[in-house]
Amino acid sequence: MRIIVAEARVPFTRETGSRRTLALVDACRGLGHEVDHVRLPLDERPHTLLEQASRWALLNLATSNGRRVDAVIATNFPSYVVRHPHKVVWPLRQPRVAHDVFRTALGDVVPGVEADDRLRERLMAADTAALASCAAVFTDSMGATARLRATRGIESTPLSCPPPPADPRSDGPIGWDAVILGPLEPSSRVGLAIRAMAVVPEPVRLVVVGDGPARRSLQGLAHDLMLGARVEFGGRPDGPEVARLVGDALCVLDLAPGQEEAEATLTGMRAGRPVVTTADSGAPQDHVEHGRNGLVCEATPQGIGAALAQLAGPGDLARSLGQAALKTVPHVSWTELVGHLLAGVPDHG
Amino acid sequence: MNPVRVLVLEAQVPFVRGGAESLVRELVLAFRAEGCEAEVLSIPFTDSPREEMMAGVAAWRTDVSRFGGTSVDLVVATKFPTYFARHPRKALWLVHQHRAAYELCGTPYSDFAHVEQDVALRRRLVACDARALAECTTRFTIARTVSERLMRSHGVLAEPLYHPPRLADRLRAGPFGDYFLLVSRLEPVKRVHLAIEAMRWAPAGTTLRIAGEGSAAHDLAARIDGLGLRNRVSLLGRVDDDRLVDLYAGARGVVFTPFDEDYGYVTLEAFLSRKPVITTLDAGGPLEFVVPDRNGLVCTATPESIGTAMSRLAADQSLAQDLGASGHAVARAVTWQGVVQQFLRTPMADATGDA
Repeated sequence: MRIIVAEARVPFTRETGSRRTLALVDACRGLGHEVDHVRLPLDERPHTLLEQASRWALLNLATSNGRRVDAVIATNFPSYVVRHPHKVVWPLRQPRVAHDVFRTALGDVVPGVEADDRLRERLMAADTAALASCAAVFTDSMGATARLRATRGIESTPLSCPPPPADPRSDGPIGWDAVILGPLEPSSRVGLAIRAMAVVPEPVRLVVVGDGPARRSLQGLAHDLMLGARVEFGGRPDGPEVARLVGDALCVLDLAPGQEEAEATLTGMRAGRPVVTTADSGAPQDHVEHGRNGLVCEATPQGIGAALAQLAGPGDLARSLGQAALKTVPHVSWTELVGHLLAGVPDHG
Repeated sequence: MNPVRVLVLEAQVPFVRGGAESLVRELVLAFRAEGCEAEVLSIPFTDSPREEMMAGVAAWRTDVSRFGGTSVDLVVATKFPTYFARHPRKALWLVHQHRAAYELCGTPYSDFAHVEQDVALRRRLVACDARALAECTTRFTIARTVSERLMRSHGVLAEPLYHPPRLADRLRAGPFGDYFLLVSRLEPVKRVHLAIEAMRWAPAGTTLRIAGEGSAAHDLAARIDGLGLRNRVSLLGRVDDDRLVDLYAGARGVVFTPFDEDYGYVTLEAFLSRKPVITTLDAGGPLEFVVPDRNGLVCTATPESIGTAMSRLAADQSLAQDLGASGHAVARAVTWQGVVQQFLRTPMADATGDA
């Protein structure tokens, strides 16, 4: 089949979305499909989104160079506004201001301010209409599917994103490092994990992987708490190095609130490591069951600290939770995922 | 100081990759090599169905100067309709306009007919083009032919800005062998048959090696057989880069006889391998570099004339050597660094918005 993968992307960034989209393109190619990747620039400022949606609406991708395009897989708003007789959406990233997030890093939409309320309504309407024009909608978590049903009355199917390959030593001995995967932004709650180290017994250490605008202040925090070598900032390691760090870990921490993706959680689970997450983490909740394959705790240094102390304590808890995690992690492969996405594409012979 | 942030604009035709696509990517790499932060910005453009063509143009009429917190310092537009993007510092490096509405109009290669609807669409397109092109504060084209077309259609002056061929860093000189090399897609407009027939006038012991593939391959093979030249002319098909570099390095000279070529990387590739070029008076692009009896030989487009030129080089190795050395100096002056420096001099549009 000839397939276009469509994505709106902020120029000069390397975000998770784009990496996942590239993996999707590769997976489709690996299955013998002819794939091209269409990426229009994205400006995330809320007041520019409608204009950008209208630009996507100008594009008709039904054919290219005189040949039919069988399907479009659109990934995020406004890419699913594009015109094509058979478009599907996965993993669905809606405009944040159109549902429950009013404040973004790039501008606030203030409830009660008339112009902002109108913008939000128009965005919701454009988003709903575009989703309704899709042949099928797939999300990447049960939470997202439930939210879409509740807020828009639109049905969708959750399909988890296949995590990156685990380090082969997933059966290896449990170590002493709690690994937290960045980006280092205030919303990642890395600060909570650092504060938790003050109440966790040695030799447990915290390894912070990733980089971001909050790095300096987080390093300052670790210094102020006199944690010394108990908190290590690992920079920006490549994929295999992340797999190695996780494969040697005690556990993976996935603490950020309201996540749409569970990439860190799935990375830990596939490595046979328990995941410690918070009750408000969102997508990780689809996978982590407290006391069975990980621990769900309060988003406080004490709550996180207690969970780490439990895993590091005498007994075999970390190992048994990790083994359960390995068994319960969805073993969705890219092949299966692409199969679901393209299942309804009409056969034109 | 922050690096200059540059977007090179590309009109994407999904599933199609050609010269324009690699040009855009090489330019991005060249900007990066000069310390800039550079990326390709693609928006698909399709002219079918034709009623939607102007919608495709409208999709490009977008502000590309800022994306959230990220500002863009400079954009380089390439082919139609990328120059419709809005940016106060917009440079043009024209690959081509919408050819069906310009130089191909009135030929079998254009789908614009002389009917009211098409005439109106063409008129509108030309008017819109004029406005968007005027917004560019620096204007270049990829070749003199493109500059001439732009002057004819819009009265707009744009100097050609040459760029090196893809293999520039790998090509090298070698011994002057007894074969001539022809590198080309095998299409009628490339007139490979002229070089084949010219072999009848070239001295015995001289051979011709033809690298490339295309729709005319079968006809050319039949012609070689028909002329009894199977022992002297070989069709090599598509060759990989390593082999191509070797072929250039060992040739006596390079024959390149297309009709009205846009640019002609082959000329520069030959020169970078210190080989002289035999071309014709009507070849277009190659004549931007080939100076007769200085770095190559220029003949009329007949087998006899081309064969005579081959004979001269076959008989006189020092002539081939001298011409090749002069050509090398010409080609060495064409650098990506030079291209990038030209674009970095692009001024801002003034406050009134006039270029």
